[in-house]
Amino acid sequence: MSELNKKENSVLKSEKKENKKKTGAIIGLSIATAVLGLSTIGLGIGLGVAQNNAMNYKTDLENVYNKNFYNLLDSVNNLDTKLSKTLSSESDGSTYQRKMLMEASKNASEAEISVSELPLSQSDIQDLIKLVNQISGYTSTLAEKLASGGTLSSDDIKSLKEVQESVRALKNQLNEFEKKLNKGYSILDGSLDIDKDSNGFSRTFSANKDNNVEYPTMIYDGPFSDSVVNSKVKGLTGDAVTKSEASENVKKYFKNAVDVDYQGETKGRFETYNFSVKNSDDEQLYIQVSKIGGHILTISGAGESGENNIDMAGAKDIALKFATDNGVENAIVVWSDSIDNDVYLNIAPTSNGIILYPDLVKVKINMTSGTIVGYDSTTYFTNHVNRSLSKGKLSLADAKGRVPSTFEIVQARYALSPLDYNREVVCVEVEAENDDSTYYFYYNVESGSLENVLKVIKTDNGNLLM
Amino acid sequence: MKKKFLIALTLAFVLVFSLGVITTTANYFNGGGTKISNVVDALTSAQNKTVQTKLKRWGYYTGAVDGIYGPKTKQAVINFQRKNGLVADGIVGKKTAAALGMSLGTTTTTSSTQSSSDLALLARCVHAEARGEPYTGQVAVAAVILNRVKSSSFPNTISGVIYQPYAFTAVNDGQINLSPNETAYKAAQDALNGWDPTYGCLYYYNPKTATSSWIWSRQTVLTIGNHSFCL
Repeated sequence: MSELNKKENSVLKSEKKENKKKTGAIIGLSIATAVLGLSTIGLGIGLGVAQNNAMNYKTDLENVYNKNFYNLLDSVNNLDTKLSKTLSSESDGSTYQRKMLMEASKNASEAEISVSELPLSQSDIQDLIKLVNQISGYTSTLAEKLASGGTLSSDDIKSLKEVQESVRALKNQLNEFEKKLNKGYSILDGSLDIDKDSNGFSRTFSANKDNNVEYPTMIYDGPFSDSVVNSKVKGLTGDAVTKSEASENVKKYFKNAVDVDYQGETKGRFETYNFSVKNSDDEQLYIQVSKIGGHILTISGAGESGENNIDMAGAKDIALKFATDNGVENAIVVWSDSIDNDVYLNIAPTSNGIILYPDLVKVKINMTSGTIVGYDSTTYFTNHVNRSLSKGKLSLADAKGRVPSTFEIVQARYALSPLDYNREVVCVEVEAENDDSTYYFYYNVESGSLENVLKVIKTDNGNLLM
Repeated sequence: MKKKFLIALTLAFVLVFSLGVITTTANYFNGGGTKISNVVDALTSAQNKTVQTKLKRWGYYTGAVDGIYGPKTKQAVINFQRKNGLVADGIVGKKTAAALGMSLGTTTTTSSTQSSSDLALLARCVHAEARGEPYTGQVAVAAVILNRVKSSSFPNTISGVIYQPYAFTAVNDGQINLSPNETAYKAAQDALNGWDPTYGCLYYYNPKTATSSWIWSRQTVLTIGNHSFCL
């Protein structure tokens, strides 16, 4: 019995052990299942939230794109209407016609803003941006012509009709695309379908090119006109120099140069030999020397920082001497400012006592080393020609008298002022102060009328003329 | 017992791992893998000196006026903030600067916001696009942006040009939000002052990495550093 009992006991014990093991395993397994289940749910929720967020962002962006497209459509429709109204009044030069031209200009510029915020690739879009920009510039130039008493010429009318043709073709293109949007086309999805330089949206958007938006030539002197963009270099004269002569010229003006490295050529509006120069002050400069005349045209570089070893007067001397040596004639300093360790100087040539602002040269001098770390005479060489200028009828005292009495006069001088586009007018420039602000008034020496006002805006980074 | 422990360990691991997956996916969808913060800009050394001088004068700070924002300076700022009822975080932000009677530059002056914000945006784009380039290469990138503003084929504002879709890769991938360094600021400043080493270029590309076939068809004007500039 006792042996049997023992046996039974041991069997029971081992069963108990087995049971214990089983319950342990079951508990373990259920914990495992629970935790796994929970984590799966957690993961699911997390992913769901993330996907939901992503969906929200996508919808937001899609809505912004759609808004831009409909703004564009609106602006182009309005532009078409305003052009029709302008043309319906033919060439009567009325205030109404002027108003329509001004509004057409505004609509065109709104169209530019909307179109440039759509995800269109640069190569597909720039003709369109140019079209609306030029329409805006052209119509506002015509409006100004009417404002100053002119009327629209038959050429103007012809151009405006061509412009309207393009606007209508563009309108058709946009209408075609709008049908696709209505059927659920997604600009965002299209924009993500990228292929080389373009994307699906770009291709779909410009698919209706068979409507052929023609790009008319608008001949005018105003904002975005081709004549302003492609201004010719008028003032660069002299013999052609070789690369080594150019390099010698650099060494002549930068006597402390320890390293002069040829960096290739510039083949643009100006043709230059380019050099990088390291001097004994460890300053790194990039210098461009014109192939015609061998003048140093442009210098750019960052100067060192430390104690100021030269003052403003010293900087002015350095700038004027350098400019004279590099082909700039009869220059004086017309503007100076200092930011950190650098002095910024604007110098301009004078003719018959008149400052030639269109021929401005910009110089930046480091006050620690006295090195010219910035120089730009491209404007000078673009515009400088011999001009026969007269001081007209307006005296300096007369001009000062025209400034409103709330201003305190600082000084007055004669200046050739660049106005609008390709227009230069001899003026008396009166510098005056009011409420801690400095203003420049420009009075036409012939008519005495006010041509321009500039305000000096003080910033943390120097003064700015607006 | 060992087995149980092992199972528990595995489970814990699975749990932690899946939580990790959840948070990373969530992060990914919540704003891309590379999150760049430009919330707090560090003060310049000169500004730190001003802070130290002022705090020293008022007895909050006893260390040297060295322009370095170290633990002593931070503690002094915290003490100053506590005394003045500000959030005591040790960071000299707008409110603390105002209480100190100093200007943080671009952010607090009202008269200059217009031009300074243009400068800051331009500097950010230059930094993002060309921070490894020589100084003139950085001026050139800023000049291209300004040439585009003037061009009829591009938007007519600095922000319009910079944020035009696909115009700059560093805008697309978010590097535009990095804080620009001193050099980028100077280069942007020079370009705003009228410097343009490219003489009117509208495009640039790196010939080593450019994939666009269209860009190769443009007329190259010059090469500075790694960038070819073209019309």
